[in-house]
Amino acid sequence: MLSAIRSSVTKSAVLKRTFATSSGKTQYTSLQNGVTIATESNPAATSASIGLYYGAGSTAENAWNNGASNLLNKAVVGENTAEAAKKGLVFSANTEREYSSYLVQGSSSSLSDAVEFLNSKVASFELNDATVSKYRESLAQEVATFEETQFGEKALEHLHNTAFQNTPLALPKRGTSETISDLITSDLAKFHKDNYVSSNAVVVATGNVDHAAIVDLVEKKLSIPSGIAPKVAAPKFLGSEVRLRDDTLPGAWIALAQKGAAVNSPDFYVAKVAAEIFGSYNYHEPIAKNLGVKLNGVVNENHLADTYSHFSLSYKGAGLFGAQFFITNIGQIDDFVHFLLKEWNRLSISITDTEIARGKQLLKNKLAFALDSQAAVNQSIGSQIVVSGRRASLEEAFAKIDKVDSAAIKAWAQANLWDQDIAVAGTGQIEDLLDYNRMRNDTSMMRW
Amino acid sequence: MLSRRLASIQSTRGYATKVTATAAEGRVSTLTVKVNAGSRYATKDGVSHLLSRFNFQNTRSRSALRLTRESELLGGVFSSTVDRDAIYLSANFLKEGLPYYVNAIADVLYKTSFKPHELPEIVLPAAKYDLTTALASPYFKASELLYSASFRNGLGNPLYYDGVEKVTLDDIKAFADKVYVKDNVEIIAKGVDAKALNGFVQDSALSQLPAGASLAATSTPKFYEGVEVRERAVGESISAIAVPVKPADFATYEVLAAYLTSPLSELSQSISSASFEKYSQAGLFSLYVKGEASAVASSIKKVVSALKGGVNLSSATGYAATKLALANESAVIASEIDVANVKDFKLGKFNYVALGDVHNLPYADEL
Amino acid sequence: MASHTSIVKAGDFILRTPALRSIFVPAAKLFCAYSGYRQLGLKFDDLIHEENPTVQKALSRLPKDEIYARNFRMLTAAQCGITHHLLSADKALKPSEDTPYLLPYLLELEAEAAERVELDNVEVAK
Repeated sequence: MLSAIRSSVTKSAVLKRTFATSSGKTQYTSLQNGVTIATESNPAATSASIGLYYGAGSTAENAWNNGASNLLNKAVVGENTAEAAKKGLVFSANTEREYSSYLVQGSSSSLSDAVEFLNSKVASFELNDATVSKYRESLAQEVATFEETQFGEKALEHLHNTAFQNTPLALPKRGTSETISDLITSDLAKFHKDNYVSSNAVVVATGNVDHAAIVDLVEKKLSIPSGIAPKVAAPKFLGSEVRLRDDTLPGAWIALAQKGAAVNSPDFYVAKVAAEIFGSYNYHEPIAKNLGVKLNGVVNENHLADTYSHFSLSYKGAGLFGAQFFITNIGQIDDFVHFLLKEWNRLSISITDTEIARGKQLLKNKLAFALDSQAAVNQSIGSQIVVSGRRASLEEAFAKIDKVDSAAIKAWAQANLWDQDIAVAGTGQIEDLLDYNRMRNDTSMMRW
Repeated sequence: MLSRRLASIQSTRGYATKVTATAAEGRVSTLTVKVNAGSRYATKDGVSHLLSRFNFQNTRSRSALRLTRESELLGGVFSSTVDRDAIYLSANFLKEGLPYYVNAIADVLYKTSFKPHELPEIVLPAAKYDLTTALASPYFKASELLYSASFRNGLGNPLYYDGVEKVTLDDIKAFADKVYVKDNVEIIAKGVDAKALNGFVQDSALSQLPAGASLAATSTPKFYEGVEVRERAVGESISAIAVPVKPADFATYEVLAAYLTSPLSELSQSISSASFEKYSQAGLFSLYVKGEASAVASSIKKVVSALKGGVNLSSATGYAATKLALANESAVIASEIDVANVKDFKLGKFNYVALGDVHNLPYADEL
Repeated sequence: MASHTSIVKAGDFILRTPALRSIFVPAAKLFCAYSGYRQLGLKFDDLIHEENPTVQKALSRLPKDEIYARNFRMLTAAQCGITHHLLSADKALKPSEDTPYLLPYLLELEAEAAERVELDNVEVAK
């Protein structure tokens, strides 16, 4: 039966893959003022999306204007969505650590309207004190609600805060309710003036669009002030921990991470595959008992965790490899962390080819199916270009994933995980979360 | 069971299942089998949900464990979901895995073992988890009550298994035999070559399914209007209204839902959520106001009186069309509704649910 | 401990081989009759050591009436034990009633475990 598996699954399909098909082709043009335009045309689409991306999110802030990118983003959207809707356009926006995005979607004949809209509402700053104060209150409330309800995400935010302390990546991407309450219109105006500049901007069009027509439209109708965005200090990983123990909550939310791969690192896909080897888990889903993840045996048997998910987050100059998890079996948090770290140890010494093959295939699946809507494709193109300077097509990503092998995983893990510092953030009932040094010691083994 | 199925193969002439395949560039494909076996067709409350949870368990050709492990190495994931209309079995996978996934899904329809221990050990706990997760949202509770009030049976059946009506393994098996038949399933594939797909389908157990009969609704079910339901519950309060909708009016309510949740309408400030859910031959428009009871009371009164006064929707058709086009691009089955000619809307009779601190929530006749 | 699967395999081999069968089958019948558990009202499968996860799982999968009958036999045997009595010939278990009610469940569980081990150790062909 073993040989049957070998021939039917792995040999025929996994390893004899062909590149007969190709994913969407992205076309690029750089304008003289520094704005990059990227389009990916899908003639079958009935609609079109145009996105404006700025390489400025919370890392472009400092401790005194933290939350400015978020508030600017929310105020612009809140103030203008109704006007967009009247024209039949759907307007949405998003802020992350390293970029802010504005997306207008409509029929392909409305592209000209969309570009004009981005020009008047986003490229130029037109918020006044009354508007800013209106959105400041609601956003401060929203962030406060986030902190009181979204504990998993909150742990992840604190993980960034402690792992990259004293560097720009440490700032909460949403800001905090305190910092947001202190923001005034001139903070937003300054953030806009400094960061929403041509060298920092990318325009991405997806759906039923024509590249030449978009370039023409953007050249004529979108005037982004020229300039160069301020340099952001380099992030640095520091092993550390932060505990926000709260025994009134129904469980423990913890995030653990070690040094990961930066966006332009040659190890970018190695770390992604490593994260996918463990993937994510939900104790209550029947499939949890069947997944090919060795960690799950002990977790299933003893209900060590309710959910976990591994990540490899990449930023400019730094990354985080780790996992976030939720545990209701609060007396065995130490056990879970121990077995988790023992599994991470195996990445350096004894990870098997089958586990890697599985991780690679599932990563491809995840990357491809993340692009399930026009907005997602647009965001993927725009965010990659503003953050890393270029976009890896799916084809390129697949080719790079194919090259990842156990030697690459082991070399990367030995340099970044084995006997290396660890960052920990937890909230909820975390009495049983081991002392920092115990966790740090679990990053290596005395014998294997 | 097997012998009956084998007998029916001989009586089947050719292949009767509808297959829709869309070719696309790219490296991945999606294969969905839509079975008209949603909760509206359930023979006992919750049997659809349990059958959906039984999908991708052990089959006579491979165990659930083997299916998961093989599929992981091929880069694919399975899911089975249930709504009021249908059970959707789908696989998202890397293109070259097509024959494997056609076979795997076919085996689920034709060869699921339904071992007695799977029900208490796997299916019931998973079903309970679904129900618990859903019930954590007061919207879900309110929506279940609105469906039940608006349609009573059929679309009004509970979506998930709650154990009120006992469902046995034999009930699930009988339901599977009834719904997993050629004329009741439809295959929808994206990113695959139609010819290749047809070939694989012919070679798979799908071509051996009995012919059977389609359960799909052919006429509009009976609507019930003017019903009021009040239920005490701890937590946030909800006042919600719903209107059952005939297919001819789908466009109006599509635009209305888009309008009421967008800043085009001032009412959007007062509304927590509004949605229009479409099924074959009927739909349900529902609108929810959630929060502290007295605030909910004033908001719902304001919203209902504004809707009774009539709203002009013509300004929202463009917005709704864009929303619909974008949703269609990612949907399994695109909904073909032309919203361009929608003019205005006036709320007539509706069903009403008050959930939570009902003492402080208004009655339907006060709206 | 040898797995139930391997015991069944050996048993099948004996049954398939006429020479072995002519020796072992009468001997086995004699062994079962003289070991005396039937005189306590028990079936052979009642004697399987149950303090391990596999048998516990198998017991949990038994139909309700089977588990009731099993418990009843256990109680009968315990009663016989404390009163130092054996069941009379008409009440003792007949050889025809000594069915392997638990064995199929054990075999299924062992097959599940074996498949898991196999799939846990599957190798990707280069």
